[in-house]
Amino acid sequence: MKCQDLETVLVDLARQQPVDAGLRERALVHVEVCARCAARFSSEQALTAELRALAASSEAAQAPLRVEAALRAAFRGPRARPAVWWPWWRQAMAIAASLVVLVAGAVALLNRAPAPELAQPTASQELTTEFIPLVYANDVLPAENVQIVRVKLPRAALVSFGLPIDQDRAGEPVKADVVLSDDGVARAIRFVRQY
Amino acid sequence: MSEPEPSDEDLLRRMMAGDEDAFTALYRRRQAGVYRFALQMSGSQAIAEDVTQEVFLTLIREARGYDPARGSLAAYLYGMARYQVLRCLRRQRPETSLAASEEPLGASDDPLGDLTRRQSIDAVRGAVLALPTYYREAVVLCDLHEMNYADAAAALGCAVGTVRSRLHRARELLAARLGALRQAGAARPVTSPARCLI
Repeated sequence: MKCQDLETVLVDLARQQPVDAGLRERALVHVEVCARCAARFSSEQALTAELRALAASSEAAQAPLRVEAALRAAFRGPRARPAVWWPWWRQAMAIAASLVVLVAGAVALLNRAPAPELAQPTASQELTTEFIPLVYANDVLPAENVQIVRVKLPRAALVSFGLPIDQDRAGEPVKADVVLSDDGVARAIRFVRQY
Repeated sequence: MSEPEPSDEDLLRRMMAGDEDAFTALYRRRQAGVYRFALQMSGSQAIAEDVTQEVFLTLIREARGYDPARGSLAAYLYGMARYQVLRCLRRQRPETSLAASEEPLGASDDPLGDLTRRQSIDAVRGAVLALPTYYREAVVLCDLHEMNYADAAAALGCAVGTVRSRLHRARELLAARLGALRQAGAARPVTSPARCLI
């Protein structure tokens, strides 16, 4: 084994992590014959010991009891509705289905009776609907970090769901702002009409 | 023969069905790790407390966001804790006063040895806190929490190879910083003990 090869396993050896038996043996043989690598190995072992001492020093640290009390109260609170454990594919299907239905509904809203429901035009001459919460998601809490992503959705896709679209604009995509929560789940959507 | 402990996933399922005892058991099993992670990442007990509360509140609200195929529940909780810590650290300046060693100074046969050991631990803690965040989290998870590379990767949302390389680099930086501290300590002029005149 060369010094360079030892570098790939040195830290794992010093941290006593599982290393292939043959590799371990060759590495230890190299450390015995190479003074420079022996010093490196010893230094890594010392660092491991120091880090373990630090870990041990805070081993007893834990959250104060008031945190547990607050969380149990929150668990009993109105937000703690029993949730359903869904596999990821089912969650993804639910999200996709909800989005499509909401997109379709909002587009229909825009096409049919836009004026009273739309917010005031912005400086860039945009009209937007209110944000529409997605039915499968909990409300977005005020403290929660969210991102708003502007997307284009194909208007033509609505036809397959039997929803009305403006035939004059059937080939144009429709713009929408989607609110994504920290975990990447779409929480709300609004539709944008630009002039 | 005593019954085997329920797994995290069992407790989570029961919790999601509204079982408060299951939530409490899961919280008691996992809170210390989450709290210590936040404490070691931030150096602040206040942040650690907030983060612990936020992580488990999120679990109450969003338990179905956990996908067992992506990693253990512990890794999922650490991942949430990491996100919350980074958010807190972005919001406020890093703590200037580092949390001191947790162990109380008690009666000891070797008070000087205890003091030296405590100083050494505080120096290591300071060096860890001084690391850039992405190196610090690798050290905290892999070295302080002895998490394997796969779980650390799940918690950090990156590849196993990335965790390994960050850990290597972090340890190089730590060794350099601690070496410099030791040299500075050794170079400090030693005060001569006063001569006993009696």
